[in-house]
Amino acid sequence: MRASSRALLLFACLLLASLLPWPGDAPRAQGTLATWGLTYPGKRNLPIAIPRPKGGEGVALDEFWSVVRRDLEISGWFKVLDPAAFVEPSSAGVRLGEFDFADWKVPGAAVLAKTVVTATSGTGSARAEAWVYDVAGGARLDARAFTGQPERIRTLAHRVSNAIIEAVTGERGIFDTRFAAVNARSGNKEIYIVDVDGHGAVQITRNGSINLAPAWSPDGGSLVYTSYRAGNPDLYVTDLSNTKTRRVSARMGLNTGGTWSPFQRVLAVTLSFNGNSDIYTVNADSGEQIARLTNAPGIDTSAAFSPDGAQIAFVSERSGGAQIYVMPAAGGEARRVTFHGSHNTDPAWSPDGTKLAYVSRDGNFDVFTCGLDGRGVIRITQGQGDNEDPSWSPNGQYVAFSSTRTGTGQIWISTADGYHHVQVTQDKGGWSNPTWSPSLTW
Amino acid sequence: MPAGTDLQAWAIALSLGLHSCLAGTLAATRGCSGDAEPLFDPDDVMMIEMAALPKSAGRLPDRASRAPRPADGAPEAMTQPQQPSDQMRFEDPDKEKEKGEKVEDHSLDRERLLAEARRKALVDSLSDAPIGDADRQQTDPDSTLDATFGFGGATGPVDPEAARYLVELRQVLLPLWNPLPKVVEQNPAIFTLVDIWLDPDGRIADSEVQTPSGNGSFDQACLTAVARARRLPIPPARFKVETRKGIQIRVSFRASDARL
Repeated sequence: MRASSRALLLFACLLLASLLPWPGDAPRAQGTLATWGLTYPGKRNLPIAIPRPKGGEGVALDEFWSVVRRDLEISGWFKVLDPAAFVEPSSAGVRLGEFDFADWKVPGAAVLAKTVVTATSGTGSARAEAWVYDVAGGARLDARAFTGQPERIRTLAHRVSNAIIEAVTGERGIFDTRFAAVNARSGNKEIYIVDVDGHGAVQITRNGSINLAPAWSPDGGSLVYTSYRAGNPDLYVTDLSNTKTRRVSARMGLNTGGTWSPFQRVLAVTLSFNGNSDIYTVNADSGEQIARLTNAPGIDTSAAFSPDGAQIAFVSERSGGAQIYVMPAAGGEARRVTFHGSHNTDPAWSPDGTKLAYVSRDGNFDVFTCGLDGRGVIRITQGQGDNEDPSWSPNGQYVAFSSTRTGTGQIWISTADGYHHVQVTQDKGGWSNPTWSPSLTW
Repeated sequence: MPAGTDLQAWAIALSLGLHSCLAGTLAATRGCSGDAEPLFDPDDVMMIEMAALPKSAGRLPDRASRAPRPADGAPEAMTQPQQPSDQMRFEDPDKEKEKGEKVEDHSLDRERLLAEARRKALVDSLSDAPIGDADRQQTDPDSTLDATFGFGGATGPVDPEAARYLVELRQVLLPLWNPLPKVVEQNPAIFTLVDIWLDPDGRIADSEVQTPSGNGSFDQACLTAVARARRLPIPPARFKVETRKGIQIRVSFRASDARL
């Protein structure tokens, strides 16, 4: 055989070898590849790393750091990671390219929030920067700077917290808001304004009597509340800009439950000068009666204007036990909203006007929310002392309430779905009647 | 014997030897490295989805299952979901027997047929099962949001073996999966398919995005969750697909359940 024939035969054999099936090539799949579907369960604690702020002298770096970390824990959006787990070298910077994202995958961070706090020479102010990064995506989400007086470092920290939350969630944060609430630290129940994280309490009333149920004016500039300073439960309005106080209703009997119309100088109040507790509207400046809105047997009380001012929710015993009703703001036929439970009180409208928060006695007092048709009831609290006085955050994402679960009444915040509870006050005097300020910006 | 015959025999022997060597080399090479080939029909893929059911009315509801965060920041207790009941519907030859009809006893065949019917019913139901709230209420009025799982809609059949495995996957992966809320909010329809290869003991040998969501951050969050898991449960035998890279599973990470 010639050499060319041998080569041809060898080539044919090799070709055959490459084409023939071989036992080792057989697919080893034994079943059908299933796709296992996981759906993101919604708001959870996103692991966030907040390294100690970079900064210079003249600013309280650690206080700033502590406030930001606490704010983000309160928010319910994040799980703030322990700095002890951080491996980033101290020489790393805050800008892209000045640090390695791999260092932040070690502690499991999904979000990295780097901050810088410096004292600005010449102006005497402090400057705080927030640099927010998506660790998994290796990208910057946002960077913002704020300036303020160094002694207001907590306010700067709250603003930075809000910036971080907005960068990650797209939602505005609540840390520039406050509560009006009642505290007895002085031995008497007085009205205070306190930051949303429970710090910075400012006393509003100092009359040594009992002061209850503060309610914000729509612009956040005034409070209406009930005070026994003259021996009778009367309604007073305090202008927060100058702390001037005037009495707006001192009729015989009860003058309680003042709440502001969102667009007019009108208060809805509970008066009993006619012998029965009913809902009225009065002029917020003069106190003159505008209209009597209810005239049913039994107690009608706890009026609350809807955000559009068109409706009023209130509590009535007209069907026996206390239940929540809604009626037109000018009065008229009332529609019962709550049917679960025999004692439902303290209605509070959500900012979008689609839900009510309220208190139901279910053994203890607990906070619930429901739609305006009474459906979609969500339990916010359960089996943890008495929980009362619900109030929505201005963005509708949270409900604040007072709770006795730790022994004394304190202000707690829950996400609107009831998942995440945080105690925001720790005062021995005890807090009650928290009412959230009406705007996200103080 | 002529010389030509010897030459032919030599050539045949040489070719067979080369054949063996070449094939052996190919097999060894493929066994050591290289990407996994698609060893299945891409159309023959089951989607096994988890659906939450609404709460029932009639009494004051319980608070959502996650326990309140204590003041000292202690970790929250994990709620154990209930195992779903078997709602599979298929023809049962035993019932045919009870009716007095003559049924031949082919136990092995019957088991095989039942398994096939179960699989087919599962696959069929997953595509177009009714998923409205009304259907769910009728099907399981006492179900609660966090404790009951349906597959392909509550009125569809539930495969208990698949359900158990999905619960195990969920318990491992969900706590580690942290897509940015803004991304989820702004892209509620996105999902990422991730292929994962496991060692026989469940350790993750490799993973890759099989179908990207179109949002890089979301895809990376899915891969990060898998990487941080380090180990995943081995799928049930019926769903076990072995490739050269290991036991393959495919997980869809979905931003939101559009059916809820």
